[in-house]
Amino acid sequence: MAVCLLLVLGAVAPASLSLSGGISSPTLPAEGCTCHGGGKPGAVTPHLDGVPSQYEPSKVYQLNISIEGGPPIGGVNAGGFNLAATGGAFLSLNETTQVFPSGEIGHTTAGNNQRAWVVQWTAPAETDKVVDFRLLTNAVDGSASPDAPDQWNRATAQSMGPDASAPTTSTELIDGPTAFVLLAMAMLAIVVYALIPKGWSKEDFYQTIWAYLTTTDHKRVGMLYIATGFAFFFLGGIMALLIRVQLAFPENDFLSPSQYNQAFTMHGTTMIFLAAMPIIFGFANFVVPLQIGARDLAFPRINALGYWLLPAGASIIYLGLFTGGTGDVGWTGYPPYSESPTSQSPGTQLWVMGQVLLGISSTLTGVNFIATIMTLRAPGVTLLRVPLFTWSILITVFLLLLAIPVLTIALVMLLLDRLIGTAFFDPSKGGDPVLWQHLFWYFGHPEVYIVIIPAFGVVSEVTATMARRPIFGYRSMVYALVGLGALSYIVWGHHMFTSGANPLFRFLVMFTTMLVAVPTGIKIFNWLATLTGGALVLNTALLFSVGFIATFTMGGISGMFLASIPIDLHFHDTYFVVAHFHYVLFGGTIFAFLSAVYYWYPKITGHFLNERIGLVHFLGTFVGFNVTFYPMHELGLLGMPRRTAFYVAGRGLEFDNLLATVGAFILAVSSALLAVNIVYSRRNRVQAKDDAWESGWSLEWVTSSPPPEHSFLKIPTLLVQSEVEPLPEEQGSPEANPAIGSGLTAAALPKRSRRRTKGSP
Amino acid sequence: MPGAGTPFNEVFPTFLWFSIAIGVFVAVWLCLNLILFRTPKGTKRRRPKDAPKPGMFPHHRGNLRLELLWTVIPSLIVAYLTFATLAPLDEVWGTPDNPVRIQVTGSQWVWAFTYENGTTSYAHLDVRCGVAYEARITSTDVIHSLFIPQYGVKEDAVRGVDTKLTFTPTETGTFPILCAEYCGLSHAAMQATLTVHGPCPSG
Repeated sequence: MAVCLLLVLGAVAPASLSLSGGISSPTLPAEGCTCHGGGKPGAVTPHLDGVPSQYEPSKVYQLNISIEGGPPIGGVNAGGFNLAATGGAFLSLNETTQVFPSGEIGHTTAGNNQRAWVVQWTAPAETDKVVDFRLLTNAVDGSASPDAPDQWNRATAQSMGPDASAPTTSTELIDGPTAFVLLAMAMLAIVVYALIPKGWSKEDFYQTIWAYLTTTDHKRVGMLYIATGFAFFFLGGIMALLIRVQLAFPENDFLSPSQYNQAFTMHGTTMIFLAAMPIIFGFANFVVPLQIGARDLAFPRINALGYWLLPAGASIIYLGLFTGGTGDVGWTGYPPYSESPTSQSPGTQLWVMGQVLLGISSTLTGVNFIATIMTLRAPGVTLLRVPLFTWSILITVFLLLLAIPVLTIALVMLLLDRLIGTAFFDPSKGGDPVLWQHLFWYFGHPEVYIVIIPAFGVVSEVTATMARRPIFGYRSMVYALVGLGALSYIVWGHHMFTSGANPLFRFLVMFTTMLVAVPTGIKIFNWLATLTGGALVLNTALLFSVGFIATFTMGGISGMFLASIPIDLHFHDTYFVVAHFHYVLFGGTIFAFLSAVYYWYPKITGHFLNERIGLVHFLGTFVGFNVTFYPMHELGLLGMPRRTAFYVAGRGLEFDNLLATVGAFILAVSSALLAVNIVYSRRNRVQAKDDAWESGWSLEWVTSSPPPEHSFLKIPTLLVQSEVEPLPEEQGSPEANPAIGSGLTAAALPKRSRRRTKGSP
Repeated sequence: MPGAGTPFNEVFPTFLWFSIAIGVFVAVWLCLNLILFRTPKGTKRRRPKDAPKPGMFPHHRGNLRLELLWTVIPSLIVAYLTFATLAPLDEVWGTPDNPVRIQVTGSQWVWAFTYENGTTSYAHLDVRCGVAYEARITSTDVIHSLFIPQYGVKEDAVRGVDTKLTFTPTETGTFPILCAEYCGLSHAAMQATLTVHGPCPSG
């Protein structure tokens, strides 16, 4: 622990001067010292001579350390080293070396202008120890130019006591994080196994797999999306747990900084691109054609292609695991770090490539949905009679189409910078790193709306159906959605309040960001008004939607703080931001889509999920979620920056962090209950009727549960209830209630909608 | 938590009170809904007159006045909060008279502070209480962000760009300086200490 503090003090050097105070740090990478910007591994050869292969207990040995190669010793501060051993003790022989409190030995200011040192090592008194030596060296040209790279490398040696047995590698083979991941994978395998129906032959198995591999049916593609999304939700959750275990205690070393950086990068990328978006597309695929009375999407093959690009892109992103480390640049991938030599984790390349592929997938899907919703609506389904979930998807895919290409372009520019040496974002060659921030957030802010707007759609459906009443203010809900979509394009600058941008730009962005509260407020109050006066069926689907309203309101409110520049200057990039976006993304999107799972499950499978398990699932998720993320507001207030692999004790961060970790495990256990529920409900089927909740109105409740292969036996026509069975107060004229829009009570189906639907298959 | 007198603390309480008011309002309404309108299982479920039916676009439900009400009131709140932010914002962006300049340079993974007299110290900054400081910030490599939680300020260090932030210490002590922009392997270790030396001017 003290070593960590020492690092803080010890990492004191401008670039390209070897560390005059000596190198000593538990956070040095295992590969060697990258202490200076622009470092380059492998160009020097460190030598550690004098280590006996078998030591005599307590004998004193002299060890020679030297660096071969590297730039000529021109100026000062030409080299440095750090030597650690798992046993025995070092002694400094002269003023050029020093022993750190950690027991490691390194150079001093006086020994900073040379490339060879002599130190003394006393072997341990035990006769059965195996001592591992780790030598890190670096060589610098001493020109003090910021571009001059230092060259570093590492060497290892081993010394065994006379009675030591050959070292066993079993303890090294599985470290904590690996064991953790393996355990989780085993659990996933059990769930998958439990989902296989009893009495299945091999042929049944292969037939089902083949059917899914070759399908273009929107329902099956939707299920593939949903299954993939939840699988990655699980994987991203494991990474979240790794992060939380690491941060449970101050100065923890469960993960190395390198592993930690990979973990949060992959957590973010996985949750946004591989979990949230596929789950959304999955439900959109399954539900939207049913809601508008279409037999499939407009382009079913493109739909299948869009899906299959997802596992392809995901595999490329995760291939980094087998190439020496996944991407480690954060999901935002800010250059110049993401193209600097200090981030040459091979996985970063794959991370960029995979995301380009995912971008293509999303763009294809976006086009497909616009075409579908605009042209394939059944008779009677005019645009202002489209269910709110489909409306939300329509807005979402428009955002998608405008936003994703910007990310793809930025990624390609980054790729060119990394591969062929262009300098779009590299300030050392005249590029502009802030340009990336503009491009990324011009995509990134609509992107977060892409994942939250469908959640609004789900909650609108669930609250109305479970209140057994129409949604309150259908039209203002639609207008609010459109308004949110428009606003999402003019607020990106609020991610850049500390980037030194023009004050007028920052002020305008602050104002537009605050404006987001207005349409969001309309939606929240309309949901609340929908519940008021309803006959609430308080089942799991509604509970998750109610949970959504509570947590999303919290997230919206904390967003207001972040919109205000004087407040954001403190909160920016601290845990307050982490709390905020988990409240809107987990408390928002995930809660809403868990609600969607319970709500549409009977339509998808023909049977209900169990309500008792569902209740526990909801309570565990709600409690676990708040225990995890609420304390992060305080961590942000205390000024704990995000993306830090450790924090020092004594700043008051310990309790909140531990609490968040406890909450994360509650969340993990309760999330597993969804799998339990699916398996349980399959074995104890409670059959669902076509209109499973007995108060849904949209066309998916007209067809059977599960729907037939072509979704509808006969394309339905959407009627208008106020014409078929008018309420007493509506029997007069529609003008009796000024709030009633004329379009809602129009006497006949507009001709236009009939024409529109000619293309239905 | 930023100390008293910082721009952060001039706005934060206003936002906090509004948040609590809105949060409590939503929470109370939500809970009342769940308590008052719940129809428990087992009892014969009341079917509202306008209950939706499959295949029929439901009856109109809404109230234009109410919907306008919760469009206008949030707009007013937003307008007020923007207004409340203006004065502190001016303070954040304004330059104090004759500030003492400090050149701050971020490198992986250390902060270097160069004083007006040309001396440079690493990972440590000494300042005097009651004096206005202007830090000019840059980076030699990747993007860093100078973060002083005590004053609730933060500004990115970008190579090739000079950004600045101002602060005026008001109490003596030792405070952390952190890096808030992810900058690589030892990002978490990129910390420095700020020592404020007295005496502080009274009043």
